[in-house]
Parts: sequence; C-alpha cells; structure tokens
Amino acid sequence: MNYETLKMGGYGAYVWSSYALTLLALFIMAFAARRASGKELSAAVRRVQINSTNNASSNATNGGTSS
Amino acid sequence: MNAPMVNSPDPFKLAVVVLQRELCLALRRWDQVLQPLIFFVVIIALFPLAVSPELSELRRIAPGVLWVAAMLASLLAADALFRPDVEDGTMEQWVLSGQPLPWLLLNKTFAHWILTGMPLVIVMPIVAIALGVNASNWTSWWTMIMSLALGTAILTVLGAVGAALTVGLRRGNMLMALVVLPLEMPVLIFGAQALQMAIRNESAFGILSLLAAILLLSLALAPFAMAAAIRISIE
Amino acid sequence: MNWVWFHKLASPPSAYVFALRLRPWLFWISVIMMLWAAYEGLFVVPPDYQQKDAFRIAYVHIPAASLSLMVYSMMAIAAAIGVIWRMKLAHAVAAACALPGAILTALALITGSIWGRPMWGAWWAWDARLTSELILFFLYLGYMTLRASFDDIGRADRASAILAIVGVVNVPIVRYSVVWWNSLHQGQTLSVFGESKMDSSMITPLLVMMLAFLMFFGAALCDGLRAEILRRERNASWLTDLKAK
Repeated sequence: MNYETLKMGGYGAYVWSSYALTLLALFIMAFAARRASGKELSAAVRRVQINSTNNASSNATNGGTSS
Repeated sequence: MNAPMVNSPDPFKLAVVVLQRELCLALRRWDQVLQPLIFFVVIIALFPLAVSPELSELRRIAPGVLWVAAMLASLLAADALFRPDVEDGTMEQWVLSGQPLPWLLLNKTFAHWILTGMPLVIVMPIVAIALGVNASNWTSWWTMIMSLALGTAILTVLGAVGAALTVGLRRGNMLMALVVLPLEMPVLIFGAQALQMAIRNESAFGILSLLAAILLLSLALAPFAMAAAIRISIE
Repeated sequence: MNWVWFHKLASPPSAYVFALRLRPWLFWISVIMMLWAAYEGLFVVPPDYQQKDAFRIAYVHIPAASLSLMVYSMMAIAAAIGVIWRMKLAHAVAAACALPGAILTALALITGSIWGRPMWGAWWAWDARLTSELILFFLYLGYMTLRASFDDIGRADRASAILAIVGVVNVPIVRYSVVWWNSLHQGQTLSVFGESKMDSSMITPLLVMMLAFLMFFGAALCDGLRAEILRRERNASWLTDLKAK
C-alpha cells in the first residue's frame, strides 16, 4: 500500500472522510445504545436494592414502589 | 369505544350537527377565525420587504411564498382545532358518546377547513396579484385556486393529526410543527409546482390529480389516526 | 439479599436475555464482515470506469441509505403491532429503532453529499431522492421529540406509534423517487431480483457490507431494546441476577 492508493486518484479526501464519518456514526450508534442500556440497568438495580431493603424492613409482600 | 352503539343516528345528521356546532362557535369567536387569514397576508407582506419590491423578482418566488405562508397559517390554526374542546371536556364527551369518533373528527376538521383553509383560497388571487402574478386566462386562475384548495385541505387534515397527537401536551405548539412539517413537505412540493405551472400557463392537471389523490388518501386514513391520538391525549 | 421475587415477570425478561445473548454475536460478526468489505471496497475492487475511485463511497453510502429506510419500516411495523395487539415489547422495539435510524439517515445524507461534491459538483441538490431522505431524517427527529415530550411511557408509546405509522408514506416515496422523477441521483444499481447494474466482483463486498450494517444495527437494537425494556419494567426486577451473569 503506497501513497498513491491512499490518494484514490484525487478523490482520497472524499473517500476517506466518508469512511471516517461512517466509522464515527457506527461508533455513536453502538455507544449510545450501550450507554442507554447500561444507565437503565444500573438505575433498575438501584431501584431493586432500595425496594428489597424496604421490604426487608417493613415485611411488605410486594416490591411495587418505585424509587 | 367497544360499547355497542345504541340509537346510532344517521351519519349525515351527525355530520350536520357537528358542522353546525363548529360554525356556530366560530361565528361567536370570529376574531379567532380571522387570525390565520391575517397571518397569511402578513407573512406574504414580509417577502417584498425582505427580498425585493421588484415585481419581476416577486413573481418568480410567488408560488413558493404563497405556499409557505399557507402552510404556516394552517399550522398555526391547527393548534386551536382540538385544544379548546379538550380543555373544556367536550372532547371527552365525544369519545364517550359512542358515536364513531373518526367521523366526528373528520367533520370537525372539515369545518375547520371551511373556517381557516377556504378564506386563504379566496384571498389568494388578490395576494397573488399583489406579488405580481399575472395569469393570462381563467384556466390558470382556476388551476391556482384548485391547487391551493386541495393543498390546504391536505394540510388541514395532516395538521389535525398533529394537533390530535400533541393536544395533551402543555407545550405542544412547537412540537406539532416539528411533527407535521415533514409530512406536509410533499404537499408543498406539488402545490408550489402546480402554481408555477399555472403561472407559466401550462396544464397542471397531472399534479392536481396527484394532490387530489393525496387528499383522498389522507381523508380515508387520517380520521382513524386522529381518533386514536385523541383517545391517547384525553386519557 | 433476597432476589427470588425477581422471577415473577414473564415475557420481557426472556426478550431481555435474548437480546443480551444475541448482541455480541451480531456485533463481532458484523465488525469482521465490515472490515473485510471495507478492505475490498477500498483497495481490491477496481475503480469504476466512470466515477473512478469516488465510487468507493458507495460501500458505505448505499448500506446506510437502504438501512435507514428499512429501519423506519421496521419501526412503523413494530409500532403498528404495539398499537394493534397492545404489545409492550413491540413498542420497546419501535422506540429502540429511532435513534439508530436517525443516525443512519444522517450518515446516508452526509456520505451522499460528500459523494455528490466530486460527482455533481455540488454538496447538495434539491432533488427528489435527497429531499425525501431529508424528510425521513426529520420524521425520525419528530418521532423522537414527540416520544420525549410525554412523561408517561405508555402514552408516549402510543402517540409516537401513530406518528410512525402516518410517516410510513414517505418510505415508498424515498424508495421509488429515482424511478418516479427524473433525478440527479443515479438510479437503482442493485436489485435482488433480476439483473444488477454492477459487476459481481463489485457487488459481493457491497452485499456483505449491507448485511454487516444490518447486523451492526441489530446489535445496537439489542442494547437499545434492553434499555427500553428496563424503562418499561420499572417496578419489577428480574434484573439483578442477570447482572450476575
């Protein structure tokens, strides 16, 4: 692979920038979804823990209350 | 409503009742009826100020200006379509009445078009002349009027769907524009194209047919979307 | 701690577990396929006789554009299923489709515009294909803002579902815009049935890339779906023993 291949016959800037942007977009797509699920999961876990400690202390039968 | 329809009246009588109510209410609040019309004219008056007072220049952009103004005016008006009735509980009564809600809403929307769309269509030729449009024959005027009539009808129906979706939200006005404008863009494209062709004295029959087809399609489907949206909104 | 009552919930947990298990497979396989297809597209495939090397943008532009439409259709179908059968999971799928779909649409628009610059001499043209794709982007945005403006998730689900279903009329307009209108945008190059207008050595990487994009979207959907399921299952909690896994 030499410099000429990277230049893509003068279109290098266009080709490479679109591939780079694609990479960026895919990264954002995966990362946003990953982060959303992570955030929701930790929030849910926290809620569950609070509920279970509440239940343990008050002997309630269901964990219906939300934090 | 899953309840069986007892004493369901004739749908046409129902339509007449709804139309009568809407028109009567509008007569009592006639200032609100005038608002979209004034808005339409004011928006159009902005363009000569902003672009250029040259009639030749204005003539070129007239179709787009007319259409964008009509779109904004219908959007502004659509917010008032369901909001008062939802706020005073009328809409809840409609939902609970056991009458076909899509049909009621369709008639309400039709009344709304008579009150807000039709005035625009009537005023349009005057405004168009003010923008330097000089269509040479009656066919051109007729085409322009038809395109705006069909177009505003579609805009009203789509706006009604958007209004029904956002009526339950406290600040739904801006959101409605965001939701509805993308859907209205094809209408803008074809409508402005029809106007352009009419001004150039070409036959716009194909585009008018297309607009009519879009109108029929939206008339057939939108009432159900409206009804579903209203049910969500008043919950 | 007592986690026994976590197992009470029925169907969403299984979907959750399914998404959790499926995701790495989709993700890594699609990454491998993408690397291969990008290598082929960038270095192996010979330059197009007309467009020279600029044509290589097709390998990211076409998958993004076609997937953006596919995702919208999927979102609308999921929304319709959610409305008709009152299925929470379908609404969750629709909700999870929106952001990836919007990103893909933006990507299609941007790469298209980068491609258009050397080919048409303009970054943007107001032609049917481009404009309808832009409308698609606005539809995604409208969908997301509408969804975000409801406090109650059930109402958000149903209201945005209606919008998604109404907006589906735009999908055939985008799809066939190059056929219906005389467009600056080039016509269909790929066709599943019948003759494609490309050489097969060029097509294989493209098809692989499209499949890879689809799987990558699937992986993102798995994560997004998990987030949406969790958001809908606020008050119950089969989750912490999943966390242990």
